[in-house]
Amino acid sequence: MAKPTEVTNRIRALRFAAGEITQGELAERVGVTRQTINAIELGKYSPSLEVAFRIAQALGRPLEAVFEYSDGPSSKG
Amino acid sequence: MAFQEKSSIVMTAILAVVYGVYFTVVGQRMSGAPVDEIVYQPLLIVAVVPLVILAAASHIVLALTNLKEANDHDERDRWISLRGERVGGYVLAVGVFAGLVLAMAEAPYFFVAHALLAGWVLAELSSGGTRILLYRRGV
Repeated sequence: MAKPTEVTNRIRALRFAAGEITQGELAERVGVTRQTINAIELGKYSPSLEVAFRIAQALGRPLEAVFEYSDGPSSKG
Repeated sequence: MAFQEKSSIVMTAILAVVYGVYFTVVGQRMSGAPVDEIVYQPLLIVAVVPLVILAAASHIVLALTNLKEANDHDERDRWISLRGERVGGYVLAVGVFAGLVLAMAEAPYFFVAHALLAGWVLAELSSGGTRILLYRRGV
């Protein structure tokens, strides 16, 4: 049932790099719960595009510096 | 733990307990009397009372002990809720179908009523269980 997301992120590292922003502070800036930020960091939840952009903006980085999508060996067609 | 996750755990547990007791009591009555004579209606109605009281009391306590987060309902909460509702919907459909078949076969009202009730209870337990699983294990 729980398909792991293929979207990975560097949120945790970037939080520390950007002045040690806590999960709670990031959550507040982005408009989600702290638990959701935690779930995203752990790869347990893939945020919507809007939330992904807001996270990147809150960290002061472009989207692809924060999130990465790996097209694994299972490519269709 | 997210507020909505705590809320899901509490509500699912309350439903399981209240209707677990109800079905146990009614099940016991089934061995004593023919189904047409079992007076289950007052029991069913009365079961709603502890359900409402427990649900309200537990959520007041939850809100008071989680003041900051009590109104939180972000996209992950909504998404998990939708997934839970979808699972619950399938289970409910099975219950309704069972009730329909029993009604068409002119089975005693007792069985029709309890097929529908069981369908609803199992649907709520399934959607709650799905939500809890998704919060814990992730999506």
